[in-house]
Parts: sequence; C-alpha cells; structure tokens
Amino acid sequence: MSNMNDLGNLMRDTLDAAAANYKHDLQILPHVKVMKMGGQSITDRGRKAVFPILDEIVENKDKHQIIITSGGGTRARHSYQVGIDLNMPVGVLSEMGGAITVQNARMLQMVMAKHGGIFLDHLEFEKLPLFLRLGCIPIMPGMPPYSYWEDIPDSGSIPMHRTDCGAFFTAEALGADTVYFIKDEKGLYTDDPKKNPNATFIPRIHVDELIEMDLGDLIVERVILDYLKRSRFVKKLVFINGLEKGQITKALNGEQAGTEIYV
Amino acid sequence: MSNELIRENDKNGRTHLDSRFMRESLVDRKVLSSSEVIDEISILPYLDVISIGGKSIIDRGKSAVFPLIDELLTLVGKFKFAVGVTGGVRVKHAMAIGLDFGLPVGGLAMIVGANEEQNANMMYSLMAKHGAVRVPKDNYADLPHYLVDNMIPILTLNPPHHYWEKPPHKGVLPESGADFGAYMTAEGMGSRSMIFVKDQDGLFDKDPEKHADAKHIKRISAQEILAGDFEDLIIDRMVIEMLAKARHLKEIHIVNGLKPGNIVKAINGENGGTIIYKKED
Repeated sequence: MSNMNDLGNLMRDTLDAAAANYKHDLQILPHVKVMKMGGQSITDRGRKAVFPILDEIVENKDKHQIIITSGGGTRARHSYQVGIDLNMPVGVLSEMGGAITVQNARMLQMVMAKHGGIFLDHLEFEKLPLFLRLGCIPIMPGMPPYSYWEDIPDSGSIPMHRTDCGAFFTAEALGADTVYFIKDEKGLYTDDPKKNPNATFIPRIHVDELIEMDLGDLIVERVILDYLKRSRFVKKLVFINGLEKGQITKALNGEQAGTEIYV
Repeated sequence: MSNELIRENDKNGRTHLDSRFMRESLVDRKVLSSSEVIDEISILPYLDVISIGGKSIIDRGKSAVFPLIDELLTLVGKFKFAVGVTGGVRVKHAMAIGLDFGLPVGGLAMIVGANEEQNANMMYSLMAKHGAVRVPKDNYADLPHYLVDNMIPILTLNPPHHYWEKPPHKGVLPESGADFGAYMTAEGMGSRSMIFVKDQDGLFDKDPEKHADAKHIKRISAQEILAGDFEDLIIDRMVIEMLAKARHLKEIHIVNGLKPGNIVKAINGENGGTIIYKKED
C-alpha cells in the first residue's frame, strides 16, 4: 500500500478544508434548560429542601424542557478524604465522586418518577429527544464520565472536573445558552457568606472581571471560567437560591434570580 | 479518622459525614492544595502501554502490521503489556463530514471512537491465537487477570469524554484525543512505560515530510516543548501538557514502528526514537 502517504495527506487536506469552513452552528437540543441540583447545598438537606424544589420544577415542566443533573455532596467529600488518605490516584477519586452522583440521581428519580422523572446515564444521552418529547424530566448523574482519564489537577488531588463541569458540558453539547445551578444561596459573594458576614453580593459579572478578581474561593468549579470563554453556545451561568420559593421559575423565565456570570 | 454523623443546627439541618472537606468549598484554593496525595499508589506498576497509530501503522495493512505483531510477540512472557490502537484516516474523514454538518466538539468526540473500535477488533482477531483479549474501558478492573496470565489486552485509546469534551484552546477539533487517552491510561494506572508507535523516528524540530533539513530530537523535556515553537508535533499537545504535570509516568517513548527493533529497545528502557520527559523543579 505505497499510496498510504498520499491518502493520509489527502484526508488531512480534506479535514483542514472542513475545519476552515466549519460553521459550528448545530444546536442539538437548543431549548433545554440544564439545571444542576447542588449536592451539599440541596440534596444533602433531604426532603425539606428537595421536595419544594422538585415541585417547582414540575410546575415548570410543560413550559420548559428541563434536564436535571445531580451533585455530589458530603458523601463525595468523605470519599475524597478516605481516598486521599489511602493514596488513591486522581482517576480513582474521580470514579468515587461519580458513584455518589449516580446515587443522588437515582434518589431524585425515585422522588420524581410519578411526574415523569427518568434516570438517564451517559450512555443513554441520545435518548434525550424521546424523553423530552414524552414530557419526562431526565435526571442525569452530574459527574462527567472522565474516570481514569481525568486531567492531572493543577493543585491537589481532587478532580478539577466535577458536577458543575458535568452540567456545563451537557448544556454546551446540546447547544443551550445557559446553565442553571440550584444552590442554597443566590450566588456569588466577595467571600464565603457562611463564614464572613461582611461579604457582599455580586448580581452580575463578566467572566473576565471575575477572573481578574482572582478570588481564593468561587461558587463554581474554577476550570469552568476558562471553558466559558472558549464555549460556543453556553454564554451564561445562573445561580439560584433553591430554598427561596419562586426563584427557579423566575430564572427559567429569563428574569434575574441570582448571580449571573456571562461572557 | 472518625466516622461521626454531624447534624447542622440551621433550620434546614443538613446531615454531614465528618470529613475535613465537610462544609468546605472544594473550589477554595487552600482546600484544594491541601488535598494532594503525597505518595499516590500505582495501580498496575508493571504495565507497559504500547500505542499503535492507526494512520501511521494499521492503515498500511499487512506490510506494516504483520512485522509489528511479530515484534510484539517476542515480548510476551518478558513484559506485561497492553496494546492500544487509534483510528487512522477514517477518523479524519468522519470528522470532516461531522464538521460539515456543524457538529459541536462533544459530538465530534462522540463519533471518533468507532474507528478505533474497528482497529481494535482487527488487532484482536489477528492476535487472539497468541493470547490477545479485547478489554473495553468499563472492564479495566479485569486487566490484572489477563496480564498475570501473559495475555495481551487490546484497548481503544480515545478517552471517554464523549459529549462532555472540553472546548478546544485552538482550532475546532477535540483536543483530548487518542494520544491523550493513551497517556492518561498509562498515567492513571501508574504504568511502568508508555510507548507511542508511529511512522517516524520520533520528534523533529519541524515536519520531516515537508522539510528536508528537519532535525531529529533524541531527548527533550515536556517543559521545553511547551515553551518552544513546534509547528507540527508528532504527538498531541495535551499529552505534553499532562506530562509536565505527571505524577507517575514521567517519560514517554516515541518510536518508528516501520523499522523493526525499536519497540523492543523502548520497552527495555533504551531510546529507540525520542524520549520526552518531565523536568522536575
């Protein structure tokens, strides 16, 4: 097969031409609203916090195509602590974190089943159009499926891509413009409001400005700020205090509910 | 470590499992930097991962593949190695069509796996009688079982990022490709070595197919490559970026699989082409 190099070069040129003409305009399911259900902030609080939030989501389900992704929470943190103590590599920690988000997604599904809640793992992603058409509310495990292929972290051993990233990439892949994060506070403060009473609220901020502030702590996984700058479709991250009734509805209708990080 | 349950006193009372990350932000820089595993274990410290290029080797058919298999078989019993394959020119074609459709980067990452599955199936079929076994990603926990029996696991190399692929820094194609996946397989398992089998003698200062005066580089650090100005790396840049942060696998080999003997050299720790290493601070 002496013409292998020619064929290789031809395909490379074809690919280069396709890349140059790339329109990047295919939005697979542009109207979906991807909502991440905080782990530590919401799910770990049990029915008191979760049931009213799910009720509010059900109230909105005929108006919006909602996909829920789960968070980790205190069991994920405990997993990381035990894993780190046992000298686990990053990939194992990522798998362990992922298992907790599967647990949480399954629990949320059982609570939501009577309203069309359906568990959807990563392998079934392409069935989304069916479930949405049927009026279901797909509930996905929040951890991205990176497993052993998780990046070596810049610092420490806790995986850099966790459930915020999972929600973000889900929205970006589907061509949605916003990712919604349901938490127990309305967004970004200059410091952790649970620890510092003088922390002030930031209602809306451009991602560059936020990077410029170089905060030691953030409301969202740090790598997302970089991805937001490079993303094609996702242009806004919206944080919602799910403990306050009505905020989810507001956010879904495009009104300002909590902090918006935009690009 | 204690195993206490701790209930918060606020009105929505969360139940926490006692851990040092409890109530902490896992985004906080101080919390993260305190989370480093100092002496990370190697899961398979004896494993050698050999990546066979799809375009550089398999697409060439028997003239390239058969001698290479003969060379691999000489390693059986002496080394515990797994063979990974990449997709080759069909991947480029699929991506060209995908780009024309306007697929997002996650969509492109979703389709590239099919071609390496095909190549893995062929390599398995060729080598099954010599102990090859096809091991999908979900079954990597079975790898020791095959390796202690001197079998040859055949792997696919693209990472399982799929729709969750990161937006690229440059260009429009997924950056976490097969080379990245190969390296992360080896790094994630804490492997002994990682050998990339290509159709060139390793790394050159510029593309030797386009420039007659291209100079071969025997040994270079990942940091030097990142700081340098290589127009056309023989290996995905993401590999070099990971290598610079490596915790286990601190050098990689790139060898020419069209010339017999180089894989044997590399697996014995000799330089059969180019070695790229992590320069420690």
